[in-house]
Amino acid sequence: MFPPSLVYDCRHATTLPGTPVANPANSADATVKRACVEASSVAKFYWDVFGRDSIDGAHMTLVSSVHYSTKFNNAFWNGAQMTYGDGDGATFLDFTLSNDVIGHELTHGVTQHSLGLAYSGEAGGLNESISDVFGSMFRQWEANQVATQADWLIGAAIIGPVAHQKGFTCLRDMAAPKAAHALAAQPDHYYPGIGNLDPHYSSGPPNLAFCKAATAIGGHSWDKAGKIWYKAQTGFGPSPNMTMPQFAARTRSLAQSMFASTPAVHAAVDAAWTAVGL
Amino acid sequence: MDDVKIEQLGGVVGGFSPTSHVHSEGHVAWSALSAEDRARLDALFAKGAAVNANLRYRLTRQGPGGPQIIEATPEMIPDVLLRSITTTID
Ligand SMILES: [Zn+2]
Repeated sequence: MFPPSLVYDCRHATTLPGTPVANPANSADATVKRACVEASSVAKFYWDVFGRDSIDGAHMTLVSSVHYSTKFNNAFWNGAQMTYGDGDGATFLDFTLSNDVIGHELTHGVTQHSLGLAYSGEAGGLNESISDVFGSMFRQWEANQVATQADWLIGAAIIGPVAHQKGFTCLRDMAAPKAAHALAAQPDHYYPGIGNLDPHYSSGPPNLAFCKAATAIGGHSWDKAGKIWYKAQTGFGPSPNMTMPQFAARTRSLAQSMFASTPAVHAAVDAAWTAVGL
Repeated sequence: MDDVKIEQLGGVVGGFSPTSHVHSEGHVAWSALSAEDRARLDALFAKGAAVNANLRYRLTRQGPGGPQIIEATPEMIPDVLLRSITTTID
C-alpha cells in the first residue's frame, strides 16, 4: 500500500546512492533503520492526512542514502532522493535522529512535484518554509500533539554537544524565529528584498505565520492549517517563482473556501499573515 | 593560483544566513590538487553556471582579474575539496 522505502549505505563515500541495504527496516544499523522507517512514516502521514501517494503523488519509491561522506554536517534532497550525514559529533549528530529533518527533506520532493519552487529568491524561502512546516507537522503527528503542545523546533535532536554547550537547542524555532537558541535565527517579519537572502533565513516569516495560524485555530495542526497549506502547495500546478505575498493570498482564499462554515479559520490565517507583515 | 575555498550552502542546515552561527567551509591548495581535479575545476569555473539545487557549494579562487566565484552541486566537485570542509560555530 505504501511506497517501498529503500536505503543505501554510502559507507562514507560521496557517490550516490551508495550500496543497497537488504531489509533496511530491520537493520542492526540504527541509522539505516531510522531512515527507512521514518521515510515510510512520512509517506503514511502524507497518505493518511492528505491522501497523497508518496512524494510525486504516484507511488514513487522512497530512496534514502545514509553515512554520506565523513562527519558530514547536513541532510539534503537532490531532486531524486534523500541523503543524510552522520554529523561531526560536535556541532551536529546523525541527521536521521530528527524526524522533522526527515519530513523536511521528503517535503522538498513533494514541493518539486507540485509547486516546483526554486531554491532562491522569495520562492526559495517559501520552499524552505514549506519543508519546515510539513517537517514539524509530521513530528507533531507522530507524537499526536495538538498545536499548542508542539515545540515548533526544527532539528532539535541533531544538535551536538558543542552547540548545546553554547546554548543552541535547534536549527530554527518556527514559533520564535529570532530566538537566540536557534543556530540560525531568522527574521519574524517580511520585508521586500528578503528574497535576496538565504532561503533558510527568509523562511522565518512564513514559518511563524503557519505556527500562529495553527495555534490560533487549535487542535492538530494538520487538520485545518495543514490542509490549507497542502492545498496551496499541491492544488494549483507549478509556480517556480511564487512570491510570499502570493502564497499568503492563496492560503487566505483557501481558508475561506475550504472552511466556509468555520469563519474562525480564515480569521486565524488572515491574522497570522498580517502579524508577519504579509 | 593559491587555493580554492569551498563553502556549503543549503541542505536542511542552510548556514549561509546572515545570522547563522554555523559555517561549513574548507580550503585546498591548488598545488595539492591532482591534474585531473585541476582540469575539472578549470572546466567548472569556466562554465560558471548558477545551480538551482537544495544543497550546493560556493567555490572561490583567485583569478587574474580578481576572485572567481561559482556554485556547484556535490557531484560536480572533486572529493578532496568536499572532504576539506569543517564546521565552526561562532
Ligand atoms: Zn530545506
